Amino acid sequence: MDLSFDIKNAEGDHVMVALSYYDSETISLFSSDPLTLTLVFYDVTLVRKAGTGYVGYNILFAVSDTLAKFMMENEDAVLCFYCDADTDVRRNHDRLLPQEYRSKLFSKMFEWYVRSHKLKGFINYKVEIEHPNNSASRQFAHFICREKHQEAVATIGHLLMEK
Amino acid sequence: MTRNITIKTPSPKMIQVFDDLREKKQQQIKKLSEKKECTFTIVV
Repeated sequence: MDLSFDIKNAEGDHVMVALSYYDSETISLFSSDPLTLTLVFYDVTLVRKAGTGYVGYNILFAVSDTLAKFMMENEDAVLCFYCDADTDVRRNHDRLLPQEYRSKLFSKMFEWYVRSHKLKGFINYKVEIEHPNNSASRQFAHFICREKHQEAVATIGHLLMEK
Repeated sequence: MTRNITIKTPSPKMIQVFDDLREKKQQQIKKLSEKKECTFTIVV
């Protein structure tokens, strides 16, 4: 199941947000733990379709709001946000890799949203891995889940960390 | 709450998962880049 939304503002910014389901066959390759197989994992992708400069705050809040509402309506959902390294992104901090900047922004958006809406019961797992053969190559991914599902999500992490 | 996890020596399995996440991301970016508009539009 794929879901996508256009988010636009009066300044000409246009961001497309898509949620794409990971089928259970794919998940079962990573974990056969029955607890994890009750969860439904969704890839979250954002693509800027129009606009120059930095994306407006109202767009970023609308993205957070859309994802939050999706989580509220889908009890067993886990959102997965892999931070793209291949597309450049406008940022103030040139020393940050594009994927690192995206990761920081995603965490900031999560924290802003839960604080402003006084939301409890959600966790943003930010996972960073360094490539063993190339320490400059760092990858970032975020997994947002309900607190009651943290054990299941952590189980996947532990299984994946087994050599 | 945000929990930060840094893995300096990821297992081959973990590397594979991240490579799969990356591939899925590339597919989604391509799909969205080609899409003109979605069924739902939010104007802020």
